[in-house]
Amino acid sequence: MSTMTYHAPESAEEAVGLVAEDPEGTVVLGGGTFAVPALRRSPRVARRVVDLRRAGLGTVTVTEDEVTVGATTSYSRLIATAELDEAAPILATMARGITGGASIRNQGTVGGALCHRMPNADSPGVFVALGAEAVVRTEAGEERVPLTEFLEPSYVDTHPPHVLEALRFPAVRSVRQGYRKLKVAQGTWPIVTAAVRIDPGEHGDTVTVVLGGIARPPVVVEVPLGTSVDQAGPDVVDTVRERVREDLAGREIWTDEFAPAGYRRVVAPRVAAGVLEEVLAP
Amino acid sequence: MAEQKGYLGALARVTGETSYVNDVNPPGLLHMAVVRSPHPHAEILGVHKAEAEQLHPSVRVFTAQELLPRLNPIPHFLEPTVFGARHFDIYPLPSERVRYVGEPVAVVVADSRWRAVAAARAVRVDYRPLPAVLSPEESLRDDAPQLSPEGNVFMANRIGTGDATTALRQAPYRLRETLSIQRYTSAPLETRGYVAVWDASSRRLTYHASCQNPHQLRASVATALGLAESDVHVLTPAVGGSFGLKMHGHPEEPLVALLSIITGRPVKWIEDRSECLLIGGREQTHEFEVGFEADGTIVAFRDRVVADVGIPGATLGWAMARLSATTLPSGYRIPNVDIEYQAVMTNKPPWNATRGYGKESAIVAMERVVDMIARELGIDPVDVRRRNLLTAAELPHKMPAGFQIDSGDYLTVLEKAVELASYDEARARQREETGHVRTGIGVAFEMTPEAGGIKGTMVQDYESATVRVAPTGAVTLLSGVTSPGGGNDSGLAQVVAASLGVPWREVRVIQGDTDMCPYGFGNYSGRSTLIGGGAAHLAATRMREKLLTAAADHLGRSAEELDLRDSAVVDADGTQLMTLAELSRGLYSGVIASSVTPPLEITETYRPGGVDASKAHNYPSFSNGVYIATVEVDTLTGVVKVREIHAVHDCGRVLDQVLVDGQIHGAIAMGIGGALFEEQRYAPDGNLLNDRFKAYLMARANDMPTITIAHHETPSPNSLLGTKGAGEAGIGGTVAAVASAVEDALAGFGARVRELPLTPPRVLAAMDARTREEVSS
Repeated sequence: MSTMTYHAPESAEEAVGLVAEDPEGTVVLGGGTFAVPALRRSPRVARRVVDLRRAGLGTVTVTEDEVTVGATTSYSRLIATAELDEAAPILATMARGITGGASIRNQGTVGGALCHRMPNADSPGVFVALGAEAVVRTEAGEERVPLTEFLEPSYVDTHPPHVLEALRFPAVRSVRQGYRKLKVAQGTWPIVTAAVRIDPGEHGDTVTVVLGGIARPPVVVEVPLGTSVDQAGPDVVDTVRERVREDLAGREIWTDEFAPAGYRRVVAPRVAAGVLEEVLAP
Repeated sequence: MAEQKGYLGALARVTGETSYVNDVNPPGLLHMAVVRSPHPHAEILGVHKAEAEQLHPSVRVFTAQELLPRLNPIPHFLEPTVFGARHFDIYPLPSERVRYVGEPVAVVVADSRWRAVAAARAVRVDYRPLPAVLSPEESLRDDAPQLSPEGNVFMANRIGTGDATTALRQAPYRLRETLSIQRYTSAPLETRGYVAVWDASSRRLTYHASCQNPHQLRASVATALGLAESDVHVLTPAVGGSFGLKMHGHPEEPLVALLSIITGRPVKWIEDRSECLLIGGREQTHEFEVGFEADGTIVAFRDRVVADVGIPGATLGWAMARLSATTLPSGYRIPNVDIEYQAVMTNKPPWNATRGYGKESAIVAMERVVDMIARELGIDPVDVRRRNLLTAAELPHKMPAGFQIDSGDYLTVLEKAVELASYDEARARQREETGHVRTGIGVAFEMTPEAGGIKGTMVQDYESATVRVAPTGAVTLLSGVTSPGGGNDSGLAQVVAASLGVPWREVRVIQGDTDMCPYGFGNYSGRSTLIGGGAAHLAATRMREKLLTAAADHLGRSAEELDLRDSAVVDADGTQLMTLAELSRGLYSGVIASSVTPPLEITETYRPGGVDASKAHNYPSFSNGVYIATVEVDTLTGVVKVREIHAVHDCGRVLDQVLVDGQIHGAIAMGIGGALFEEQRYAPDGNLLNDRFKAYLMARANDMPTITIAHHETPSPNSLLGTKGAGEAGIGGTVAAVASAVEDALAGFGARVRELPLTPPRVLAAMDARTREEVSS
């Protein structure tokens, strides 16, 4: 019978060394809430499991300008980090909305959700909306990769063996933002997630909508308003809804057992518009 | 109203102390895993086991060729010919052809579960795929592959009363509609599991099973293995939900036992969730036509029911298609009825019984019909029900299928529900509503035949119970019924306690042991308290008489002057004369001279009345209820939230409200799942797409609404305790009420519910043609 070895490295450097020895045969565990059931169900037999629980990647650091979320940070840790309510409100909202009970909140990790690149996970859209970079450890050292690039399905095959260390993004204290997800039932993944932020600029505000559950990586739709959102009037919601609709019209949309692509194409602009309405509400 | 006592062993259940079959781990245990077909229809060309057996010394692989010479066909739980279907022999493993994805092809044992699973994956099977059909439409085509020599229609029949054709033609109003009910299943929290321990020296098999019917399972396993029934001892530990899934006839049952005999070691098989979700429980279409008058009075009803029963097995699920037809037209007064049903074979896994046993689907269809009339005429759906439900004076009532509804007061139950839900106020609030989230209110009446028996089968409507009083005065009930986890053991303890005169928590209830318990039929069809409780009451009552006779002899009093209360003999004034322990010890030890001779042990059998012996299939009681659902539908996304369920239920006399409410709460959860979430969805290659709870969605706690339950008791004249059964009710009423509420919420869009479950894509698609096109693209 084949054997599987278990490793719990104490640093990202040690972890990536283990991965590099057998990239094809290694499964990296964040919290294991997705990977372990997948291993049980898959005919693939992993030769090596690298469990990051002791690698020191579970911390959240919030400074005035920047937020760093370790890859093995649990949703409970995010919820307990009060500074995120101001520095990254949509991340706090997302964490509070994670379903699956205490086992998922305490055991599931943000990095694990990103590394599985499931389109309909909660995390990807939120971190993309926050402008996060993936802090990636390879044998050559630390790299910072735009998260949208990291989330491309081809990233693993086209890059050297690596371990996700953290997500890093600017604090967004002054940015108006919101997040919502659409689900069939409480016990499962979202069909669509929508994160919305409004960034001021020289030529007016820009509304950015990031849609999860639609494609890999999440879909980003930027709508420059040419004026401030408050001066744009109530039509801004219709404008953004229409721009999202136009963007999705030409895209290949994710389909799964919960909803066909057509449903996602219809509801995503509506969900995004709903989030924007909430953000703009006095 | 009944007392609220509760659930024996509840704390042990919720703190994880209760032992289930997977906690049975005898020394030397081997674990079985099953090699299953990945094809919906294929010829088996060869099974190669060398690679798997090289994985570990403990691994052994067994093919059909090796095992079939030692196996007889699995006995049918329900002989198909009884319901006019064809008899067929079915073996635990097919030798030549698989007919559904997941069909067992070979079995593996190893010294750990995961070794066995890994080895099963390593068994290589050569197949030649054959054309498959995954729907009745495909299966009924002339050029469809034949799934049995006699054709693809497994069972068909027609029942009715009056002249529906003429009445429909002459009716002032006539509507036609369709309803498609999805394939969904029971999915108990604890899956099936068996541990077989063969003792070669005594040639006896001890068989631990998470099952519903240990005595019939004993016969089934013994017959399949060619053993005497007395060679098998079935033990059922605590069960974590059954809902029909654990009625016997599954191929793994004899295989576990045979592997124990072959290996000489205990063998365990615990069903994986993906295996559990193979089994189907419902899937049928209704094409109905209804004729009615301007005031909503229904004059004629016709329904063509086509059920996709997959590949029938030795389990009794396929018969649910018949029960859907025979439950129509529910509790409505319809003079002309014509129901035609077909159970069609497809290359999907078998059905097994599923809570409601087809009756719940009939309720969903019938309630759709009533709503349709209300909408057409623009009158309140409650009023259409008021006009058409049978009145109390019209009961008993013979249904078209011959079932006789025993008792009830449907109109009072309806009015109570209307009041409980503050229906008129809710309608008024609804009219004031604006915005994209719309409230819908749905009403459903449900009538459920309970505690049935079928002549010529081992589905019977009688039951046995033994009451023992030990020398110390300890009271034990040994019952032929078993508990699926819902607490009927608590109810039985209460019956014995009340009949005998002892505290209910001091009654030890033993179930599920075929060596200890009197012959019985286990749990199904809401029979446990109605029939098992009747038997327990008779045995306890006779025991009380016996004890009082002995006490009278000893005390020199008349038995009529004495009573048993709180485990003591008392006189007419309530003065304690002696304890039950003193009396019992005195009798056993010969100190008390009496005409009563120990042991203090009495077995009684009970069969409810009201049964028409000329009929093959009877139900002694019919519970009923009205369910009013309030939902919110987001018209932008199609997402439905159930906010409130108000239910008024009549299960006859309520023995313990906590236990009955528990049954109804669970049924409402299942009904919400059936209305909104649960669906076994298949890929074109016949594989189940959602074989885990992350994708097969059941209602979770935070999907549940506020539930308000009230009871209306019309005791059944047919049952000793006045109960009617409450185990199968609640699902159909809830599905129907929620579906009705969703349609009500979308009335402004002209939406029609024609397909379940009401997932967000389906809800949006129902709202208008353009959205339907966009959503389905």
